[in-house]
Amino acid sequence: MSTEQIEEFAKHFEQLESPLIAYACQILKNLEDARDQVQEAFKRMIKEEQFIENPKAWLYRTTRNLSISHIRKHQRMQKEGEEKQLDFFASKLDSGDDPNSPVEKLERSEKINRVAHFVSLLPEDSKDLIKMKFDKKLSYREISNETGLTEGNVGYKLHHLLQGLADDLKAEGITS
Amino acid sequence: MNEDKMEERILAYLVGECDEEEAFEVEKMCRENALWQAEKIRYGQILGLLEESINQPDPESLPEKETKLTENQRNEIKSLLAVKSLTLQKNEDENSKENKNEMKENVMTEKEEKDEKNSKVIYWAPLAAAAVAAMIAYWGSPEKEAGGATVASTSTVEQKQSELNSSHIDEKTLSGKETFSAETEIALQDAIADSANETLALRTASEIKELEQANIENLPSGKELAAKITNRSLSIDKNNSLAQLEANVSEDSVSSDSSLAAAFSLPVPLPAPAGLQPEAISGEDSSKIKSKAETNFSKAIEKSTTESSNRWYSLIKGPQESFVFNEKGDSLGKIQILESTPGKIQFKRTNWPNQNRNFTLETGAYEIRLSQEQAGTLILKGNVIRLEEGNKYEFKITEAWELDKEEKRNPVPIEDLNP
Repeated sequence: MSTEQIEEFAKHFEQLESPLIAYACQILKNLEDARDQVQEAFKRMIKEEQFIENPKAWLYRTTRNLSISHIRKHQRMQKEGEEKQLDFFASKLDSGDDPNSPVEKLERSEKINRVAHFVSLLPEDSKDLIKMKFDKKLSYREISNETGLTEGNVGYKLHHLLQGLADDLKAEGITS
Repeated sequence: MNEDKMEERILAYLVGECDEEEAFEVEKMCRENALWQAEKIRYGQILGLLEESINQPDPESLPEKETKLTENQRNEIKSLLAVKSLTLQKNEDENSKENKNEMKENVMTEKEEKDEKNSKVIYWAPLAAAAVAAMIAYWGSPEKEAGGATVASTSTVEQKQSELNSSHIDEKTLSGKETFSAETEIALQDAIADSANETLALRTASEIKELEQANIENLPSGKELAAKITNRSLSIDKNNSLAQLEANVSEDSVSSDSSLAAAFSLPVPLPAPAGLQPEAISGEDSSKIKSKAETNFSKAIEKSTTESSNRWYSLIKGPQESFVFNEKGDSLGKIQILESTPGKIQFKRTNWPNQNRNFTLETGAYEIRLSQEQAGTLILKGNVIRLEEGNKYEFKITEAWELDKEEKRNPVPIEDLNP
């Protein structure tokens, strides 16, 4: 971590402390553990010798990895029993691209959590747009009628919301 | 097509917001273009994740207070941050020190380079100065070209001389500023001399002949020269010394500025006291002028000597100041010259600085100093005899000296003291 990033650390801390705890809590299902992992993520950020290009992505990725590691360490996998967890480690060695494999399922689950977390942090009008489009399956015209926005404006807003999500997921290594 | 437009079209395609024709176009682009294909897959994944995340129950919304680190955790981060800051500060200080050292080394290196450059300057400066001096000596005066380079005339020679003299002045000015070292001055002088020789070498034989002819034509005739010397001898100031006389005569002989030697900046040797150049004047005129000049010169010397004798005589007759000293050099006070005959002076004492001492001078050796503003100071040594008549004394001169400006005694023949 460079001097410049230490100076910016406070800003990142203020902006991401709560979201990260919420995200970690979503994975760990335990607030105290979530706080510990987020604290550890911030500490690692301070100790990091390499230049951190995207601090936000770095913190999310580290928090997620720490949380998963914590689950593994304490053998408390989310929605997985102890046996499944053991199966997970065993299957990791010979798992392919099988979407039904425990590893893939776990990864998929973490990705979904991350997207859910992203949406949870959006403003209410953006959340409504996402829900109308991907939950209610409304067309742009229907959304336009609901919100009063033009069809083009609905498309533009959705495009930028998805673009932001895609960039975050890509930066955190969740998507390619 | 830009990336935003591509993403927008792919998203519209993926969410079913484009007509059939547009859908066909996008599918075609995705088949043909790998980038379109990659973006289609990426956004497809994201939309899948998004749909799934929407379908999942909302994550428990935690109270804002809960989504904060505890005070201890915050303090731990703060202390770690402080340690990190100190470490970084220390590293930066060390780096800055290293940088300073490097800078010092660089400065030293630069200094060494500068010294090297200076040494190069010291080496090259004299050569450069010499080159400049040579250029000044040769091209320095624009009048030279205006006057015509090939015309050999007296004015050209004068011009040339002034150019060369000016180069001497430049040299003096430069050396006066102590800008150049002794080596530089030597180089300058060499350059000037070389330049002058080069200038002369560039002249053709015919030009030199013309110059010589002009010199001969400008020389005064024998009669004129004899008249000049006579006039000069007569017009010599009474105070002029022999050296001055010689200098005037020689100056007269070269004052025409027509000598070929005047074209050189190198000092021209002074001619003989007669002031004649035998090779310039030949035949009968030469011998006549020579004999006449010698005669006049002897007369002038004689006159000068006579005037000098008269000077001492007049000084003895009427000195402005006159003192008597004992053999040890102690001043015994002022005296008044009463009478002077060849080799003898009668005087009386006018005051006595120490009244407790005997006012009367004992017979013996004494010195008398006589001084006059114009004539200078004359020291006479001799024996004093007290005359029976009043307080008069007779002083018989045995030696005499002139006291010059540096307070040195220059012997004066006793005969010169006579009228």
